[in-house]
Amino acid sequence: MKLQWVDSPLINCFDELVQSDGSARPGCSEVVDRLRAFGDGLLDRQAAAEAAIRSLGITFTLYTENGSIDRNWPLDVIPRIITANEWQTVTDGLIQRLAALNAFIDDLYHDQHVLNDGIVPRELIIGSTNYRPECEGVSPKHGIWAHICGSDLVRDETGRFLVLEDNLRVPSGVSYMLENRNVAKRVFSELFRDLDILPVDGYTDRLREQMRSLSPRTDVEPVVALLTPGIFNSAYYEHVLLADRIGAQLVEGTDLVVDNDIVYMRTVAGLVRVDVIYRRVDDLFLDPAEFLPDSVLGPKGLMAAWRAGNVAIANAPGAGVADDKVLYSYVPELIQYYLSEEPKIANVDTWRCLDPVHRSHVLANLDSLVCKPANESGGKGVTIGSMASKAELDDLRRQIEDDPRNWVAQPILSLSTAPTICGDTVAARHVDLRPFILSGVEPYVSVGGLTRVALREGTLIVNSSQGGGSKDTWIVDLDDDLTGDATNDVSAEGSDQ
Amino acid sequence: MSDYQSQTPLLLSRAGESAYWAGRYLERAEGTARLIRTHTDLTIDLPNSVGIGWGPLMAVVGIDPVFASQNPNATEELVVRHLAADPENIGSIRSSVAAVHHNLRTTRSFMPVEAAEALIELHLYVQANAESAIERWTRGPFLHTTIRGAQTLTGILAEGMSHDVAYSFFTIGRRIERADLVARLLDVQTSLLPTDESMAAFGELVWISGLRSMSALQSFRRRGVPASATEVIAFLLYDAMCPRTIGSSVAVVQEMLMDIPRHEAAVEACESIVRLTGDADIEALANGAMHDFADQIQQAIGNVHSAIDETWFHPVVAATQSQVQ
Repeated sequence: MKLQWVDSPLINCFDELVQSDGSARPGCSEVVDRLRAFGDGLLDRQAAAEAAIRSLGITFTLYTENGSIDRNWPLDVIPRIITANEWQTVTDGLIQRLAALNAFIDDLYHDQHVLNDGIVPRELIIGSTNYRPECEGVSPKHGIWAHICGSDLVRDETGRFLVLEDNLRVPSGVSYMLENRNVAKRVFSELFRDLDILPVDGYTDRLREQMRSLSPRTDVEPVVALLTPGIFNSAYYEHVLLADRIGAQLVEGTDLVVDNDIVYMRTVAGLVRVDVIYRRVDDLFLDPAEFLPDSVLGPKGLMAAWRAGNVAIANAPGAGVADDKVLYSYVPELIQYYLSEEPKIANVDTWRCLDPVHRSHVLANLDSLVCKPANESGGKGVTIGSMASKAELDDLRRQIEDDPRNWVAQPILSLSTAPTICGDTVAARHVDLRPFILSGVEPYVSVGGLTRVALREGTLIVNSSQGGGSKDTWIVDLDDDLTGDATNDVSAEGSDQ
Repeated sequence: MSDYQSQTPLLLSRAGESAYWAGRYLERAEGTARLIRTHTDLTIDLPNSVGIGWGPLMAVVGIDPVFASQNPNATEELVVRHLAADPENIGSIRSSVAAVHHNLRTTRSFMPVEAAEALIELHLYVQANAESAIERWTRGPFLHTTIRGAQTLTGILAEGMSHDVAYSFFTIGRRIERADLVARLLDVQTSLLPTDESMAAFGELVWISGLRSMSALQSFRRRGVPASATEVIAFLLYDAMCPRTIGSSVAVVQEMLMDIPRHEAAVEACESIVRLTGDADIEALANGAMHDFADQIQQAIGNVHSAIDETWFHPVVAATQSQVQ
């Protein structure tokens, strides 16, 4: 047999499937045993998955010096497994979190009680590049600003889920959650027959209903449009897929025109009014009349139409104010303040450099911390102290001293791992998880989410643009009888139970 | 009887344009593959003394001035590489299939998944194998697979996609491209006819080759007439049954246009093609008048394109005058 499983998990890391003695984690034993029983056949399944991804055209776009190129989506077929019970607590925690975040955003653009009461320092908002005075006084339907959120979760060495960040602007990745499942069902059809793996495709039904519920016109069928920057955007594949699934028109900025505070799209039958825009374009490109004047990614006058209540925009402009890594550190306080509840999922410990006590701690411990700028995404500007050179740390120190408001620091986490096919071995690789939270009349959390995996040994970088891969995430409903005798059935074909 | 009502789905102008160009490029890719195939056969069948060479093939697909100036002596290898494999030539099979792929990405949400898969397969195949068109012995299989891939895609769309406005624009694009190709083919085949009496017998070979490249040979043969210049020209201009002629293509375009609002200008442009062909003197066309006539036909086809473009894709009318809701 060619394929070797490296049984020992990494020291001081929680492994998603395997316990520290190398045995399968409770709830995972059936899957792990059957995956092992495939032997080299697992490599055939991996090859089948890659062939399916090629023929279905599941791609993502990579920006390079020579323009953008489409790459096949990287999927490791070994799933990441979470029990339904544990997932329920995560779901509750995320819903709680988004309730607080939406209340916070709404408060910021109205009475700012949270600032007046001194919960969050006013200077943080004044200094935030994502606070939009253009949004003050606007009241989106249901008081919801962040309709769609992708929060990044990690586990610490004890296996506890922590929120690493909340993406409230234009979070992406959900299409790959759906496509990973598509492919997994093709290559592991017998496992899906024999196990109770919860389906993930309810997400797009809920998204469609959520978008329709935002329509300002209640007397006509709402016209929903998904606003994409266009075919060269890295997430264009996702924009096409989501528009298809939710019955939205896939529009670009030049397809839209605003007249008398009403948004229209240009169709072959003439102009048609648009009620809801699911925008996948950043705030600053939405409307050249109010933001970047050269932008053609959004129509002139969109903001005025939105403020007039004639069109809904999801996520609402300005929602990104809570997407700031400094404000992130206040989320536990915000949950207390707005909901009078204890946070159900914890944050990663975070030092705010704005606070002199925190700052001196950070500056004294740069080599053992992760330092992050407040308003970057995709891992930009992040320095992992233990891997940085002295020159880099000196530079970092200068940046923090120059602009402390813009910096936070966190301990270097030992992210959890999952067994992953790496050439001829199955070895532990670090993973994170991005679930997607819909906020509206009724909140909804995706069943699992997108598991990303750092394919290079020892690294923590999971971004697909930097060589990261992905896994299907299985939320498994454990019947009592399934955990008990699972180890007895190890045949690759399985037997009916 | 249920009160179910079919809905005309909304179609963005940009998406309609993409569907239209996808149709044109798909037809161009398939047509170019057919032309290369039949021209290869023709050069095998004709005696070397007739020596038609590979220049005429370039003429059918439209002479590229840059290519012509760089390659005054169009060898088989150069011409076939240019027409099949050259990524710099926007009309090559390779570029055309890539353009279909690009255009249908923007319209993927109303295309059946099977069609998307067939298209990706065709695209990946052509990008990987276009060079194999250059050698004669690998040319046949490449052209065959390409033609079959295009036909598969057309078939899936015909039977799997809603026959809505997007489908109409896709079909209109294909038929306009085809009519244009027939016009150019008539022009070039007429010019190929041997003027020397002793070579007259080869005239029929030229016409049969032309019909075959349009996939119209069998339909023509069933008429039971010889493949003379006048018979073939009349057939390719008028036949309503065979889907490979100018007459049937214009009829299909007109029929599809009638279901789209604000079709008057485009339909009128089609009518002028019908009048042009109706007034033609076939005898004269077979004896030297074809070149100018083909130009007029191509011009008229261009007018249909412009009318479609100006009505639906890039209207100049002030936006708010045409609100429908």
